[in-house]
Amino acid sequence: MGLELQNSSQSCRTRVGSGVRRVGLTVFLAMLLGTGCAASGEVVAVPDVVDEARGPLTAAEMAAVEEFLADDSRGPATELLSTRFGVLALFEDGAASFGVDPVAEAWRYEASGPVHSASVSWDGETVMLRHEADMGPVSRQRTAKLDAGSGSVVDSHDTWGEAPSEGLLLRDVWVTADSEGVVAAHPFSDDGVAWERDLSEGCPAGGVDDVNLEPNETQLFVSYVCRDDGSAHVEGISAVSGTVSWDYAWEDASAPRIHVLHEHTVPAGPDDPIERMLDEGLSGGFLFFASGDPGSEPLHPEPWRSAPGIADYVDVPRQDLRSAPEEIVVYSSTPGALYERLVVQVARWLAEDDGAPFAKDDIDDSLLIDGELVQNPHQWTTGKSGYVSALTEELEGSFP
Amino acid sequence: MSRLSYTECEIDTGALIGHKEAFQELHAKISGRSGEFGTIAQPVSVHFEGLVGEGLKTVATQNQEAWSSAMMACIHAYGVVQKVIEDVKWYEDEIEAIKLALTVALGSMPSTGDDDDDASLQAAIVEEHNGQAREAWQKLETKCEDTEEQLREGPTPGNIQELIAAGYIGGDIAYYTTGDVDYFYYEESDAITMANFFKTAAEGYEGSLDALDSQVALLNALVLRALTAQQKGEELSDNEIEFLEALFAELQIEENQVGQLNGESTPQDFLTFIETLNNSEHIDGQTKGDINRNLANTMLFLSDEDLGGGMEKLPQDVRDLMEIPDFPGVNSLNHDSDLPGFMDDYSDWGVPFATLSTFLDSAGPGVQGGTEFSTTLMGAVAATLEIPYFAGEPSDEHFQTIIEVASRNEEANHIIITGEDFEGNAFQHHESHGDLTPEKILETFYTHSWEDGGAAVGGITDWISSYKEHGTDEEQDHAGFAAHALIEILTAEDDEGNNVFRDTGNKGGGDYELAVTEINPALAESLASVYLSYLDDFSIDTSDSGYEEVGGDREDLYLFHENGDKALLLPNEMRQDFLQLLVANEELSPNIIAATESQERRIIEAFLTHPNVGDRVGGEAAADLRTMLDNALIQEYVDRKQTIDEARNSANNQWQTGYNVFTAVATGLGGGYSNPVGIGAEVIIKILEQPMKDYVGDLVNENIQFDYIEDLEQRFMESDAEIRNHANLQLLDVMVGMELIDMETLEEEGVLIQEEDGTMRLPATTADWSTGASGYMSAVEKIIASTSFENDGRVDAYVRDFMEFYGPDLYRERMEED
Repeated sequence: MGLELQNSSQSCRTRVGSGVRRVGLTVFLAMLLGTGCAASGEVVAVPDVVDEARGPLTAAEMAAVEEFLADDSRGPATELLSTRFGVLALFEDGAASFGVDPVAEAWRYEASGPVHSASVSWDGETVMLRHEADMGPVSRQRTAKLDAGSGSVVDSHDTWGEAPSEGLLLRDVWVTADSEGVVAAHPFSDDGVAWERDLSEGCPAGGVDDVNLEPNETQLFVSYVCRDDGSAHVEGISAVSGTVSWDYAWEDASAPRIHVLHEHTVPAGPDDPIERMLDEGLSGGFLFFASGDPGSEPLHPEPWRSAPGIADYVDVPRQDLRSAPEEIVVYSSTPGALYERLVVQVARWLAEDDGAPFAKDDIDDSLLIDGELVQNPHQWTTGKSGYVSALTEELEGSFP
Repeated sequence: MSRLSYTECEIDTGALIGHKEAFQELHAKISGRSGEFGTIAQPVSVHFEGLVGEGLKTVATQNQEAWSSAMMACIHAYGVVQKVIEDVKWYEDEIEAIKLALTVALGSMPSTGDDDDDASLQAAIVEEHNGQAREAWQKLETKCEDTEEQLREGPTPGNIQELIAAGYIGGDIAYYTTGDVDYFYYEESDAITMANFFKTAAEGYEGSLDALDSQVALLNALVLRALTAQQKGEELSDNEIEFLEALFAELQIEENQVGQLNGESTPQDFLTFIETLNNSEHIDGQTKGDINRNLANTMLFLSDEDLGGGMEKLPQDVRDLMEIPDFPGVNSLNHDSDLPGFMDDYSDWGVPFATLSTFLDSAGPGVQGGTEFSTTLMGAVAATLEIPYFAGEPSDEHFQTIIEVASRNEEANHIIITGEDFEGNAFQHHESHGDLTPEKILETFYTHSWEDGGAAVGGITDWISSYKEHGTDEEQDHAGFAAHALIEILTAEDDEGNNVFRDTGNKGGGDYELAVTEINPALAESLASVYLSYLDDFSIDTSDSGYEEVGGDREDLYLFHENGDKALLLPNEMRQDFLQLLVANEELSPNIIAATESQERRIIEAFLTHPNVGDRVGGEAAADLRTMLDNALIQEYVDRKQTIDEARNSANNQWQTGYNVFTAVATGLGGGYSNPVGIGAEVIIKILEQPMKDYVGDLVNENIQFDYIEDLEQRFMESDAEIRNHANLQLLDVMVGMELIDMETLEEEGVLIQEEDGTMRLPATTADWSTGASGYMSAVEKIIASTSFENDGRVDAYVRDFMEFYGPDLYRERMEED
């Protein structure tokens, strides 16, 4: 085995293998010829900040990033997303990731055209961006997959020609929907159509209204109402094949809103529906699934399960599908991880609610960090399960 | 007259001198040399026969042991009396000095003008000096007590050495008398003699050849002394270190023959001497081997800072070899004509380096070198291993040997892994080794395909589990710190997600890049031993990274730790990546699986027996561990470009073998009724820590039979029912181990597996039952539910939480097949 040269548009790496100590001179010649290493040139990283930028994040930290960007020359961020490594800010022509302690830019991706959409993977490890990358007069759409920690381009595809700028990013397709409820998936590398689904096919007749699309990497969650009979539908459509993996339907109902929640979603942050659920007293209309799998049984979540008395102050979420929920939360990790988040968020909400027999002063000091109840269970960086057990016990005691 | 108050020593040194001479006369009489003077102070011969006079030679030689004992008693008494004389003299000198100091102090004291004040001041000065006198007396008393103790012990080698070292008896009279090398007192002159014997014997001088055995024996005795000191953490004496330095210095002089010194000498490399010795036609192979072994041992000892040595004391040519010449880089060899020059340069360094390797290979297996020397040896290998070469030496085997010898020093290994010594000081590698970092060294060593399968480089990490299991608190800290650094390096990814340890670039003829654990299976074993010894730490729910005290002002957070305990904290993804590296080796993977299966049961046992630990801790810890392993397995096969279905099948096959290993170990240990926890899950893990072996095959050879799982149809646990069954079956196993449930009950309920030899055992997995599991599991759940014990509320909590937290990615939609 000799020296192995690897050239790609993303990287240039020369690796010396184990048998390299017996190579011939021809290899050296090959090395001399093996030049031409193209750099992407679109990512600028600050290694120290990259190394330090770690979760868990809190809403206050996201707000700090927003404030930090208020006077940024790139203009205000069009959207803030959380990753496992920090806060991703989208700008008109690019994106940047920020560490939060203190707020500092870890890396930036300079797109060569307007950014159309971005998504963060379920584990918060990668970011996908779709943006225009015209070559002179020729239109081009680029879909880039970036390492959320370093900003490195892991994968990149170009589509030549005009393409709809409104859409959603799934793992391998760009999904668009028209006003008639026709959903189309476009591959990243060509301007064709991978699959197409007319949502109205799920209705006995007529078109669809209130179409709601929520991407979940390999599935597209959709909800809609059939214009003709007023039935509400939710479906999970395979991003690969366009086939419906699961579906639910209810007569005479509104289309439920669907949210995909990840472990890296910041509690009380802009993408978190739970805080709104608590603040607006909507929990009775919520329904939870976990493991990214709405095809399974709905959950009977904590802390209501262990502390049923909480229902006097916060309605128990739905646990069945007999009637249409108003909102569906699909958690991409395990039920246990979702419950930890709910225990913390509900406990915080109850502690701040004057009407509930539960206050911060009732909580054992050992459960507080700097005198405050945590916002994110991952703030208990070691022994989290023990802390959540203890907090659950406190809720059980107050809300038997 | 002095105003000093002190205790008079009543020992009459004059009389003692008389006693000393009396012992010398007695020695002369016993030796049959009563007409001669000073037979102890001036030995008449260098061996027993020579020491004894002609008249007694026959009878003394026939009764040599008794005779030499009597002579040794005289020698010892002579030395001890001399010691007392010296001690008393020391005391008397001290008193005289204090008296003089007192006189000077009083004489130079200015008057205050007040008689009373002057008197007080004088009294204070006197008292101060009286105190010094009392202190001197106490010291004399201590010396006398030591002397008494010496006398009680008699002429042991240690006591004799001590008397020689203090100069109370001279030379090697005790060694000459007994012929016992333990009595030999090593001095520079002896080293010069020994070196010259070695050199001249190599050239065939008969007298030197005759002396070789005794010289080798002497050197061997010092080796044993040094080995004991090394193991006890003691230093060699100054004279012993000086002896070793002089020995190597003398071996670096060419043809410096005894009796022919004229003040001039021709220097030679030590390794040249070794070559000369090994090529000598005059010395037999065994003696050459003995000389090489003892010299290699002593070189390693001489390099050991803890023994009082150091790398700077080694022969110059050996130290020079640590400096790696500036070989032309591969890119600068532009033409074939450059090649000969490159090869010559390489050979100039490589050939003696290979000689050094062969030489050090002859050292005893328990002998280790000093930290700087060992680290530098490994640094030299790291700096040269990847230099392309075309022929000659050093070969892989030479490099392996160097690493094997150097990695015996745990602190050197710590430096290789962490960059710091045990005190936390950054190690400065030899400047000619380039910018060596732990990452670079481990990448170089681990990604190399070694002839020994990585056994030598495994030595760099083998010590970690040993320190963890059996070390002092300090050693456990060193192990934990190193384990963390190791795993951090092994799991680090570059900006593009590449990990050089997982994807080495070496495809080994296959279609995917092999991991270091596949290229070097013996290394995999060493890394697995790190995992197995830190299994309890792997069960800590943490996103922190480091070897740190587990924090939290609560007593209910941890299954296997108390607040303040230090533990190896690794974020989930790092643990999983490390596991993936281990399970990439398909021979090792089942053992890792079996150990993890055992650890799940240990977690349950700890959870059930520690009622203070939070309700969610047990189920979550077991589920996280299982999830981590499943993910690691699946990810490994996905990384091999298998489809998701293929990856699931491959991983499932590993689980099947893992269950069989688990059952094989339990069955092999159990006999009769056997269940893993009854045997002790911890015991199973310990057994699995042993060098990788085929447990199933071995047990078959021993005719221990059990029902193999040949087609694990269960695959991965995907449904709630499968996950619940798994948790319940493990719970049952643990409860049997805790003697909450007896095996007879289980037999009555029909849930046991009966082997061909009549052994009844619990199944390792539901797949063990040859027919559908649902009926059996109903019985299992019924048995668990009907078993009451003080913490039975935990049983439900465990099953519930295990189900809620077990979540490998394999059933996620995102893993769906394209």
